[in-house]
Amino acid sequence: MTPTTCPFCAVGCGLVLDVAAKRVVAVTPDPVHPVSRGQLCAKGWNAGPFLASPERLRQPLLRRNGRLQPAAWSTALAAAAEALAAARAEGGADAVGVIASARATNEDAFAAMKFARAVLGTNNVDHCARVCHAPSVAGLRRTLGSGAMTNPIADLDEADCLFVVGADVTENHTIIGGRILAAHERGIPLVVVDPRRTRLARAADLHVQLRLGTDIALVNGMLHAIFAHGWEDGAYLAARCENVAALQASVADWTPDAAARVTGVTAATIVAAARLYATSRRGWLAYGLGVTQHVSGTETVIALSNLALVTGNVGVIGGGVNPLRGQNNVQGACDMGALPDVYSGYQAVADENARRRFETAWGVALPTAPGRTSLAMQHAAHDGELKALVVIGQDPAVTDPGGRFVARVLERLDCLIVAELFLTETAKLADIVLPAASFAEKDGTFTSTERRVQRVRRALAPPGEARADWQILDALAARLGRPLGFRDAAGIFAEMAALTPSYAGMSYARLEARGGLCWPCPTPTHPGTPRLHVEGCVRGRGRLIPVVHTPPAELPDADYPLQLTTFRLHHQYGSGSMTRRAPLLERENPRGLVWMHASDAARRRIATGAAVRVRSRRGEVTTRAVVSDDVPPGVVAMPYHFAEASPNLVTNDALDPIARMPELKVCAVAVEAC
Amino acid sequence: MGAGVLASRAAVDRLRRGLARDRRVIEPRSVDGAPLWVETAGEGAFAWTLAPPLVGVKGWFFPPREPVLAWDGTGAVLPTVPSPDRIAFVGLRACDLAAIAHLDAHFGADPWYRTRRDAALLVGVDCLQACAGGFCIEVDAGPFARAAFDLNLTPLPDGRVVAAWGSAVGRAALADAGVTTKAVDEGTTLLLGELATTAAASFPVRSYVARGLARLNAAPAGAAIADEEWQALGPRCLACTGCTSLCPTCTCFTVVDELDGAGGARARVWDSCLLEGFQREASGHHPAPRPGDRVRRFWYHKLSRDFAGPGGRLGCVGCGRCDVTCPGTIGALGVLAALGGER
Amino acid sequence: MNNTAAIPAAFAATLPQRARIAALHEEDEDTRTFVFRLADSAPALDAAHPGQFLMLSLLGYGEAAFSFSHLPRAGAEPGTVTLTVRRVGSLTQALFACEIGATVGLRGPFGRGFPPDGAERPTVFVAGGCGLAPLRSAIDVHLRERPAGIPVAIVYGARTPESRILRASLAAWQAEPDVMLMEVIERPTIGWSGRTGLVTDFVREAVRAIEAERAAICGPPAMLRATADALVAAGVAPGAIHVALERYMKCGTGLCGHCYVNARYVCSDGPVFSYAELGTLPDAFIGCGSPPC
Ligand code: SF4
Ligand code: FES
Repeated sequence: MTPTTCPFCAVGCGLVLDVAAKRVVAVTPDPVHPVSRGQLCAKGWNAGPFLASPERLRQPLLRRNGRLQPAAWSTALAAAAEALAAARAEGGADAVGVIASARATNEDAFAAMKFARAVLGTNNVDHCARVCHAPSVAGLRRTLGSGAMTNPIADLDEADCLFVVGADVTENHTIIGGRILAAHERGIPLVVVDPRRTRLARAADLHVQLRLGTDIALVNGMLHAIFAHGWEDGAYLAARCENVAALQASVADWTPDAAARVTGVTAATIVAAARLYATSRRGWLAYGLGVTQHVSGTETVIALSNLALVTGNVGVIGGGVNPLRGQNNVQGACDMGALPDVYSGYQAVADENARRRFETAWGVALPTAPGRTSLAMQHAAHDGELKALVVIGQDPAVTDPGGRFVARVLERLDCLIVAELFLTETAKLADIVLPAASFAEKDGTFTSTERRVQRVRRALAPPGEARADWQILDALAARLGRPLGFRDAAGIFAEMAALTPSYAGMSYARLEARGGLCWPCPTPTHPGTPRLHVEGCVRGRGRLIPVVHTPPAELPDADYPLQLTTFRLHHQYGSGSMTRRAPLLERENPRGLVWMHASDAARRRIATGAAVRVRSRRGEVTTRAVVSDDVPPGVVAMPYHFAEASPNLVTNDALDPIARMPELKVCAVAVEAC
Repeated sequence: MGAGVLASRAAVDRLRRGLARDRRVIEPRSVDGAPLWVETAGEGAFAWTLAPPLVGVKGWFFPPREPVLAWDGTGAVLPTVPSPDRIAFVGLRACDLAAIAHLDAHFGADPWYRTRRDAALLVGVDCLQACAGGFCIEVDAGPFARAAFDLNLTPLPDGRVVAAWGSAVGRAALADAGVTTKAVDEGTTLLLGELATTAAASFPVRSYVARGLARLNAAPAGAAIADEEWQALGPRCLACTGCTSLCPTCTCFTVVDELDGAGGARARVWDSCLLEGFQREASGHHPAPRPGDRVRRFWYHKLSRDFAGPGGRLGCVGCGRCDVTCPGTIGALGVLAALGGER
Repeated sequence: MNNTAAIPAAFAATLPQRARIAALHEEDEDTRTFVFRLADSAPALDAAHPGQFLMLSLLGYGEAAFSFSHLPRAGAEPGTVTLTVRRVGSLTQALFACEIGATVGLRGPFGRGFPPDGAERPTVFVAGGCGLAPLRSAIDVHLRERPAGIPVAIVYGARTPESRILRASLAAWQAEPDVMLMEVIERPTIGWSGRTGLVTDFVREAVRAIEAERAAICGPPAMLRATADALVAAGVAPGAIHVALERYMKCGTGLCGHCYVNARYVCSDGPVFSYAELGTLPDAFIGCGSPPC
């Protein structure tokens, strides 16, 4: 019986692995876990099957004569080291890059960023936060000084109003979603802002069903109403915020009527939403990818931060601006500095003091210029500037926008090295595939969406010759003549904690306790910080920043009359490499589907179950229709888990100019029966 | 089948060690603050008052994954025969024993179940006090054991323990451990009655349970509860499979073929009738298409007399595990509260 | 089916019996009739009743339930099993890819079929689409066992003339004395001059014509209840209307729970139920609007 942390979403539920005969025979909920309290979602309950899948990679694969063939570790590592060295020799240190994993442990992510910076000598290191919450980090760091969830999950029980924006919480963060449903049933008002009629939206007191990508207009309209009615928290604004007048002036023209014209919801609804949220004593605001995956993602995050600050909801119990992170350790991968511009703990590579500290600790000179984001790496690869790439536990060929482009680009590399559990679509393109250990086969930590750092414990040995990511990187580094010097996961954590102020007070000994610790935890006796910004914001005063509505980069037109948005299903995760190997999960949603409104379906003579083609300017995909009022007329929605029907073949890779986040949540498409 | 009085709780410790001579002894223990079934070899203090573990013993008899046959590259196919260790569970509560009686009836002669079940000896311990979310008393499953045990222990306040045996194996286990019993005298019988009364009185009043059960069981089937009521509960089921996994009487499984190179295995794997895919037919036809249909079907299975098992007992034994694990707050008490007009 | 000497009998008995595809016949693009020859003698399968079913196993694809479309009791060769299969899922897809001689596993027979008594009473058989397959063996057994002169009506509905299956049987019935075969086409194509519409439109006529006292129905879910209601309206007692239900089945033996309808298991209590019984099972016809087979 090994208590550990769920490897799927970022709620961070506690689960217990029961191992017999070298196999996980049961996964059960941890009855005393402070977050999940004896509960799990369907993914958590079904975390066992993929571990034992015969399709797990058991030994390294090396491309010979165009085909991936089994190879010894020594051969594969030598080939990888040689390719990386050759790429560096030819194009300089920045001709190589590392895509770290938001699924692997903090220790793996720290190893990845150390490997990139100290071994390869490049800041070209990134991970998939780019396709989920980079705008949260960019936006909230500007307004509050920290890009993380401000308040704990448990605070939703202390709230007087729950305000959920662009998050399908019952499906994607089910254990939080259930808690929201329960709180709502106890009488706490619930407002849901979402273009789709999600389960929460149906339950809500108020569903603000706005047009795709019009959140800023909605928030500005709400702010207008708040100032107009005097619902703002004047004392809080005076004591804790800056730039109030500028914000107020910026929303002066955003009357609810003006906002209504852009958002497509009535002015009365906008005012009602403003009243519910602003006049409740404490409002717990949570948001998801519906906010961030837009060209205006960062600005939308800022808008929500404005809303929370104006109503005095930051730094208080039961309040907050709470980004619900997607993958189990996307928070941790950011914290660990698997990002092109920061080391662990968001210490900027451009900051000389920070750089010195890492240089001293690692005994090597580090690159000074920020590196490339994962999408920039893809473009650099396309232009021939990036020659070799190490991808750890990510499947960008399925999960990134413009999937075909990604695949083509990856094929262009001189060398693609992939560490994975399975032969994913990305791994199939690789020159070298290295078998990785899963969460159940290694020690480490994950950091959940509420900044909760929790232990991941080894319950069984990896299959075949698979190794933990950090071991793979360590071995590769040794081949390159610069060993990372790691002995075990605890040692990596200790090295990281010593270099990372927000984790400085943590150790494996302290993390033994269920539920771990929330950062910042600066000293060994510090109890951790479930709630940020309590004594004033991390940056000092909360900054109000006027933002203006930017329409989505691609709007429907005569050729592509519908708007496509993407979403996730409860029973699947990411590209499905883990969940689709669980028979019950795979059966639940057996194939890619597209949801569409009855009026759009009728016009095209499409019924539920019919085969349809979804086309955009970038590509097309064939899938099946679900006719449903979950989506409004004019909008179609696709889950993105299925490689055989991936919406990323059609989605837009137009970027948020600040966080360089692609606009996955909206593009123009045509749909027809086929 | 019979009962006797043990002089002290030390005799129970002797029994536990005696069982450990030729069986793995599994007992509830508090681990990191949570009751869990752990292997103890009968050593250490017995946890007389610990609440039943969230994860019960069902998986020992009906494992989450049970391979039933395997084939190799030559096409030879052989059934997979389990060889379970001899085992003794000491400390099963009435609800879990009632549940095992259901499993016994359901699986009957199924060789996989029978093989595992026959390897186990069950020792119950009566609850003198209601546990936190349990309502066994409302469904006639507890707090004193009714069924399925080989031995059942009722600790008396004076330190003595009444041991009832439900099988020859149980009786023999006492003798083999060198535990002697005295006849149950009239005073002890009276005392047992008083203990049962006090135990019953320790349960909170939940009048909605009886109301909910009455509505659900009103004839003709389904007449008293409008479809809308179930459809309103439907969206609260997030299809997590938690209730069916933890339910000690849930027995549904699917069968999957697992390929491994040229060979493979066919295994029974726990299924959940709350999943949309559970009854979806290959043609697309679905006999329970809406979430509310599935919620209704599940709770009928648990709470309707139509499904009464051994002793006329409902499929729900009142253990309360579903209420703990349901993210949508529609475990048994949650649903009965809704049906009984309490929410 | 293999060297099971060391295997306890209770386990060995659960193994599918090995059989080979001996013949196959295309009914239409997506429907095929397979004749399997069992490797070892299987008295239980030889004695199967119409309406019972078996589990067909393909290693790597699992098992699925199929009703017999022909039986030794109806004149099929002992030691063979005949199934008419529609290609709808991964297992049937794989089966369609098999050629003559390929090995499959068979377990059965299971369940309660059409009641064996009643051959002396005028009976209407109503089949929809591929529901004719299970009903064929019932019809053939009935025709063999009925006393001379007892009339039979067969109402068979198909979407198009081309989608009619088991045409040889249709032709044979057509030629039988005292058999009234009514073929009903939902979407007639050019050249069809017979009945058009739904089977329910012709039930009354069939009942009247033979003064039916008894009926058997098999077909897609949406058709079952409508047909049974039409039969009742035409005067057949609900207790004498026998309906073959279909459910997703995983075990066939009342253990896995997949097939349950209220407190009954379709696999072991059915799959054939009288309409009177179904009246006590409110869940039997839920979802019957969804796509037919
Ligand atoms: S809610 Fe998230 S963390 Fe919890 S069990 Fe589900 S996937 Fe795992
Ligand atoms: S098919 Fe398994 S119970 Fe009926």
